[in-house]
Amino acid sequence: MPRSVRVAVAVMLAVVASGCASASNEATNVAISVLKPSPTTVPATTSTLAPPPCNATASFRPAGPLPTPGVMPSGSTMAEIQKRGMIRIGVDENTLQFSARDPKTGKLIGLEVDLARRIAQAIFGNPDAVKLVTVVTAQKVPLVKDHTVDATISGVSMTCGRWQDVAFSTEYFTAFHKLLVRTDSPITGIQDLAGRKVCVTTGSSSVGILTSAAPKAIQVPKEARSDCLLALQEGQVEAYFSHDAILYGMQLQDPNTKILPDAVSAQHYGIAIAKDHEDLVRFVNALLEQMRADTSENGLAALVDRWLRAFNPAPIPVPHYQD
Amino acid sequence: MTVAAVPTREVRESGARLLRVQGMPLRRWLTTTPGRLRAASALILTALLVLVIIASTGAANRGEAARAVGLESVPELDAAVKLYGALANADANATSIFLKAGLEPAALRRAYLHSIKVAGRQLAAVSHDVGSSRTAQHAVRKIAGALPEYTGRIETARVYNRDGLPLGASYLRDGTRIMHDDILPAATTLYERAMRRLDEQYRSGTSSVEIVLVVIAGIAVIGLLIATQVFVTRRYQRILNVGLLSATVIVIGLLGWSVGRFVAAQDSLVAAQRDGSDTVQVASAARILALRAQADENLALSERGTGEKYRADFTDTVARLGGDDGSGGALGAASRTARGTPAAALTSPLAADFSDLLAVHKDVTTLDDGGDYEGAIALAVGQGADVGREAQVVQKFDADLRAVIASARQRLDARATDARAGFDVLEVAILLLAIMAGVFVVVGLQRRIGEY
Repeated sequence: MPRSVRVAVAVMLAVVASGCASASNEATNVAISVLKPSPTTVPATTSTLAPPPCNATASFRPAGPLPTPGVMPSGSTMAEIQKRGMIRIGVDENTLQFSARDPKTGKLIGLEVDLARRIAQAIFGNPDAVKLVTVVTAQKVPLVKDHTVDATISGVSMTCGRWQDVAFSTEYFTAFHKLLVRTDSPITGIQDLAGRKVCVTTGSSSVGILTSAAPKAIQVPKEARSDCLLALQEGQVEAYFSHDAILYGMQLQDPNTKILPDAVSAQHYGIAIAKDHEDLVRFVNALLEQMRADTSENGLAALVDRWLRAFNPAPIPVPHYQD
Repeated sequence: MTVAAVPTREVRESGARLLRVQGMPLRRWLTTTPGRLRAASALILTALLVLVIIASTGAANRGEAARAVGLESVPELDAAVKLYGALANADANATSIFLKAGLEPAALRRAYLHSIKVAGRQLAAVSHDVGSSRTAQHAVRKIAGALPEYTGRIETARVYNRDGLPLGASYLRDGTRIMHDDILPAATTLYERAMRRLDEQYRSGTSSVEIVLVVIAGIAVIGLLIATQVFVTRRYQRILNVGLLSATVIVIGLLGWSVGRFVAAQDSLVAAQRDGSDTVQVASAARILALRAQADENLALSERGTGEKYRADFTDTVARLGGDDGSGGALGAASRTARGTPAAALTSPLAADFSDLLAVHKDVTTLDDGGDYEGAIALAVGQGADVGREAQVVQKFDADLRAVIASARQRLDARATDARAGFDVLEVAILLLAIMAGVFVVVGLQRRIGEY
């Protein structure tokens, strides 16, 4: 090709190439990069080693009579709490009558909520000086252990395994394991559970008890207590295995369910407190002693009666001490 | 019949004998003038055919890409963002109703129902726009299946809430799980796919390769035409061969028209991207992030003291939304991409919206951590019929972002319309002009050949 033509072609190509802008995908990359998914939390695993035997209901004896509200012994856990201005207590929000969120007001109400307010009253003289932290079953003990809350009052059964991690007050309620089923269910007791789907709450004592009582049952774990009632209603499970104290509240909300009469494995409810806050345990036990002795409407018996009268609860448990 | 090995010399001679034209071997025929003229004619026509193929394919591709940008990809992106927005709004409304407790405010209930309706409509639009993409259809099906489950849970929660029973909280929790684990991730997938598709369309509409190929092919044809005319002029002492000259002019015109249209369309597409869809993309990402931050705040409150993972996600999300002070992340990118366009003025309230969001979040967490849970909720979602400062901040933020998106979209649509103009005409013209040029070449050369 003659040189002039070659030059002309080169010039034309250069003009064409430079005149052409090109698309960039920088904006797309920015837009997509900001939408990266967020990290998910990995649930904490609990140890399954068999704990050494112990007396699970024996707590620490009260140090003396309750101090005056607002004047806590200096250097004690209660004094620190007093300095903070409020006590943080973990409670459930799905257990009707014990601790549940009233949808009409958004407030938590129940027997355990009242106990939490009593503790606040005993420290501050003001029952509202409590921050109620809602916990699901699997968090009950860990959040006390890592001091996120000062105590948990949430149907925590006192077991030797849990005594490894936290301390407990004296027992404030005795519950038994029962089954909740639909009114048309063919299940009559634990012996019928083989091969059937049974709901249990993650991290609860019910898991181990069901494994030994009905090893052939198919366990379906749910995070929150009333999620099991949802599963029962939706037909995802055929039964809900838990404490009768919890099942009462479920049955109240759905009259198409029934609690089967067979009871196994007594559960002793204690208030979980961090092991290094022994003085707080003694303080709470002193409060509970006072409430047990109080036969007026402010006493423990009256409190239990107010919330659980319809369920004919077991008598107020006697305290046991290890010292 | 057996195939025997034949010595190569015989093959060559027999091959040469086969290629006889007008009674002569090919090589000898090419030294004759009519042979050369005929060969030139054949070459030019072949090159013309190649040019037509390259130019038509280029025009078809360019036209298709330009059309797809304006009429498919951008609407798809729009529908995907609106879908996410409607779903996030429904989630925010449902959670607000729960947190406020008491009888649900009528306005909030209506807002929830409206969001669900819009989500359904946008889902239908996206389903239509994504065509046969497997990933996208999978995401659409996932949302279509999960959305009725979600609304079923919310309605059941509503009934229990009205009856004052705490079981409603479990239904709301289950619905929220469906929304956050299944529906919203699928909606994000649709959004990402729409963005990538838009990118692909831009790239195929603006690749320089096609233009270069057309230019080369065109130059080849013109070069052949000029060479032939030079040969004819030398041979016949006649300066002008009208046929060849006309053909040359036509081909130059064809080349110019094609390249001109390609370059103009490319410039329009690039302008569409630079002045329009870049801003649409990052501002849409910002919308999604702001809605997600609101969801995190509400979920942290509903977890009531154990919502650490939502608090952490809030911090992470707002960092991606605006960096430390609104000048980084998606907002910073939006300011940069909107510079020099009418949307730039609309980006100025965004930095203030961002700091308002951070400020109200700080107030909410301070109240919550200090034990004033009710105060925190009142600030976040309001009490009774009142909306709550955080909800107001997010609403304003969302509205400002939508204004930016709308302005950028106008620009984008205008440029995309320019980009697709004229390709239909061009495709027809390429064919007609090439045929005309071919006819002129044959006619022009035939006269000379006919003299032999």
